[in-house]
Amino acid sequence: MFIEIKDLSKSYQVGLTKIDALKKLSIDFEKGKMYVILGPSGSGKTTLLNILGGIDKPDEGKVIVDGEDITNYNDRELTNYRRRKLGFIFQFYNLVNSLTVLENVLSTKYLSENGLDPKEVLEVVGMWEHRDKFPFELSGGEQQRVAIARAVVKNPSIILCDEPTGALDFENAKRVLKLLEDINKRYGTTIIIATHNTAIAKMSHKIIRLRSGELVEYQDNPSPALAEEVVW
Amino acid sequence: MLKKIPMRIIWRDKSHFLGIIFLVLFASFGYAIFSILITNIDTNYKNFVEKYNQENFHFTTFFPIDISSLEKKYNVLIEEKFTWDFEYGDRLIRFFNLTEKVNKPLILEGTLPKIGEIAVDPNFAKANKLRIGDGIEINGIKFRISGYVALPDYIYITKNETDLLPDPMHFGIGIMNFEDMRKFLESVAYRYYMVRGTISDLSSFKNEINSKYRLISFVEKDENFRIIVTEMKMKSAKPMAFVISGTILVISSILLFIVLRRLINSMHAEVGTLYALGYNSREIVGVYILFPIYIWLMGVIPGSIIGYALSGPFTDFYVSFISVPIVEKFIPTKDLLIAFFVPALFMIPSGYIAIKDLLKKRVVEIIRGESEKGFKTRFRMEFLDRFSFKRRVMLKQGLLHPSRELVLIIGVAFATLIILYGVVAKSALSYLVEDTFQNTYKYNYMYLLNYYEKENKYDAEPFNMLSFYLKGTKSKVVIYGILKDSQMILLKDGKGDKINLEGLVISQSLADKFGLKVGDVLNLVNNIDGKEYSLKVTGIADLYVGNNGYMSLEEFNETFGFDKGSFIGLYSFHKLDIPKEDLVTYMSKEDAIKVFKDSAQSVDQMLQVMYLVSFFLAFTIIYVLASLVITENRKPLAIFKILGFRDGELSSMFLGFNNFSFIVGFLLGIPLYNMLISYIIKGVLKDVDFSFKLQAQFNDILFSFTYLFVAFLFSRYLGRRRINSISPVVILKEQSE
Repeated sequence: MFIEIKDLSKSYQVGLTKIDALKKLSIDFEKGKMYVILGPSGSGKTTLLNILGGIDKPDEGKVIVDGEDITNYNDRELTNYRRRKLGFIFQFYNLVNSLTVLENVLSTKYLSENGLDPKEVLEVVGMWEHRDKFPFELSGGEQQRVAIARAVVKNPSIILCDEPTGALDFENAKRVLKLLEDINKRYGTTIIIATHNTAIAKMSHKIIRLRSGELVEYQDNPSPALAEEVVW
Repeated sequence: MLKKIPMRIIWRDKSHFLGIIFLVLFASFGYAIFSILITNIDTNYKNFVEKYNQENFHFTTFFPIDISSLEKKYNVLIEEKFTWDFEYGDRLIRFFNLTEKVNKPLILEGTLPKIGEIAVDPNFAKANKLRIGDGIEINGIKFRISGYVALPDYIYITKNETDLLPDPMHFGIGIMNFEDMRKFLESVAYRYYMVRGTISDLSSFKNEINSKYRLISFVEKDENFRIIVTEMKMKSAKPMAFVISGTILVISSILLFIVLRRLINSMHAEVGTLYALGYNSREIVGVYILFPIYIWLMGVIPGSIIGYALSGPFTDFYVSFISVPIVEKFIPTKDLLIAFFVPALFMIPSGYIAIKDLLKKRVVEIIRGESEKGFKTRFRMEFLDRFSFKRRVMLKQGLLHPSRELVLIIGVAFATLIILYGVVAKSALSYLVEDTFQNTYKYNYMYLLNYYEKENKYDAEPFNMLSFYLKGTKSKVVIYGILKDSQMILLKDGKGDKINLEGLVISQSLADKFGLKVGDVLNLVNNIDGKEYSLKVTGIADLYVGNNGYMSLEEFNETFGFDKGSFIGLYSFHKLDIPKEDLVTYMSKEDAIKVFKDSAQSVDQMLQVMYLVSFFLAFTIIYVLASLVITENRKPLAIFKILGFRDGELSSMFLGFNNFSFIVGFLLGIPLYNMLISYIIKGVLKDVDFSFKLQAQFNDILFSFTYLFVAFLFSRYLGRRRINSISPVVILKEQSE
């Protein structure tokens, strides 16, 4: 299995209250597939993504990626892990405002030894013509396409998407989903999308439902829908 | 309620506010302490020399003069003074008789000595643990110490005129009644006449004295080392103090302006929301103006208090070098008010401008923070495209914020100037000891006779000397006639090659002060008889002590009209048995070296202060700016971290431009230092008989660079730790909230 999550637990202290974000969660992920994690706010989606992404650490449990337990990694090893294997896409795009579109993409290309051609990737997301613009000169949809290009350009084996369409209108959201679908097919990238939008689940190979930090459903989807067919 | 915002934010972002608070504190502290010091020594000095009738000049004659007739004729006060050196162990007290008209003694503590009593200078007493009431045996006679004394003609208490700094451990002055002194005076005592009052035609006065009583030496107040050094130190300390504290003040104000501007811009959404809720511009300014006010108060209140509290010990410490008696303590209210309020003059308007700039915009623009747009579009910087991504980000960071880099450059340049000054002074002192005394002055003893001799009865090397003024100035130049193949004075040029003694060879210090080079003509006026001479400079010796010139003894005697073979002094490797009454003075090289070495210890203390100031300045400025960059780039830093950038890479991307600015600042500091030094040599030290080798050498520069680089690395290390502490999860959470 490409990614194995075993008995993963994480809790936070908020004021006097202890919140259990993840409770003994165990899931597996196959290479090259698209996954959608569904769940309401507070279900543990983002926490799971953060731990998978090596930017947060669990209290207990293991996360084995490509045969290595990343929960034993120190900060330096986690940085290397993110550098080699991961791409991130966020709800609020998180582009660097002082860098142009091309520079934002180059920022991750720089980290990868076997990265893709930034021009090719920007053309795939339809943003090559806007390469000299700054993020604030783009619409939300355009910014998210740049964020996708930034994630893809270093040719990661996993892309983690946290509510990638959450801040977009329907048309732009569909374009973004189409791009994720294309990338999954074209580059064989494992894509894990955390969202509360159940409609998106139709296009994934596997659907994971979380509630209050626990797995409530793990469902195979043998015939995923095309991104164009997804509506909500 | 809103008024709580500034203090909470200052507390939250304390790392960069603390730096500015410290700078303000330091500036007001520096200004307060220096102004109290300067006012106290200045006022006390003026009062002292006026009330106690400081001399206008003094002179020595071969025969006793008729005091009352000269006083009447020239309408001045003249008083005779005797001096006698009491040596015990490795210490020496120079005693003077009590005078009543000129250079009257000031008793700082205790009483004037009666018969059987003495008074000594307080620094010597302190260094040697002598207290009022203690007994001291002088040549078998017991004396009691009646008090501590200061003399207006011996303010800078050095044993020899060539000593750089006082050495209170080994040398001090004292007074006793003439009746007591007479017991120790042998047939001819060292006696001179002190004159208080102005004589319009000084040359005719000198001529009269010379013709009637044979004038041996004549020293005006302006050339009296033991008086003018104090005046010069005060003269140079004032601008130095104001420049140092003033510059720190200006730098901290610009820093505050930059930080406030960024801070207020980063709070655009909150400010805009307040606007939208109905707060008017005045109310909002009223909240945010509290930032500079709090910072100002947090800096100046402790700064002024500490400055005031430490001014006492600091004045005592400083006074121990320049020996101004502090009789009365003054609080310079005006200067203290300046130390308190001037920072506000810089800081409050800079804060106000920063807020007003933001408030000029429309509410919707403030909320969106659109001010960023135009700013960044202007700085598209296509020319950077050729660089790698990492370098591009680094260059952009610097080029987008030139004012920050400018502050860093100015700060580092200023820190460089301070550290170089300290380091060079220290190495100049050791150069003086190691080179001048070991390699140039080979003799161990120097004797100055009180008559001209032709026959050399001793196993020693004869020399002759005369004192001159440089024509048109009051600067004293001493010309020596030494043996052509002298084994006692080895003159070498800058390359270390021996100089052939043909014509006039001058010291490097004399050349530096008057910009002289080989081939120039030196116009000199004899100090005693006023005769003028024009001498061509044939060589410059690598010698930093004395405004001196050297000629061969034959040429000297011929030029200045002495009989062939005449000499007035002897250089010797071993101690000579010359009767005391034949001597004006004698000097042992060992003593001189000891004084220099003791002086070096005092310089060490000043040096430590300079090390601290420069380190603090460089470190604070770099750190404040670095933490500003980190704070305002928290989000991009977090994103880059998530993407897989390492802390070291982020540090060099976001703070790397500082490397250039640091180096530029340092390189700028070197010519700045040279300008300062040339001002000191040509301006302040012009009238003094010694000079330092104050041009910065490669080693001094290397040391200063290394030292400041440590400050730079330290601040960079802390910056990197701050980058390390940025948690991507926290930033992402802040964003989703």
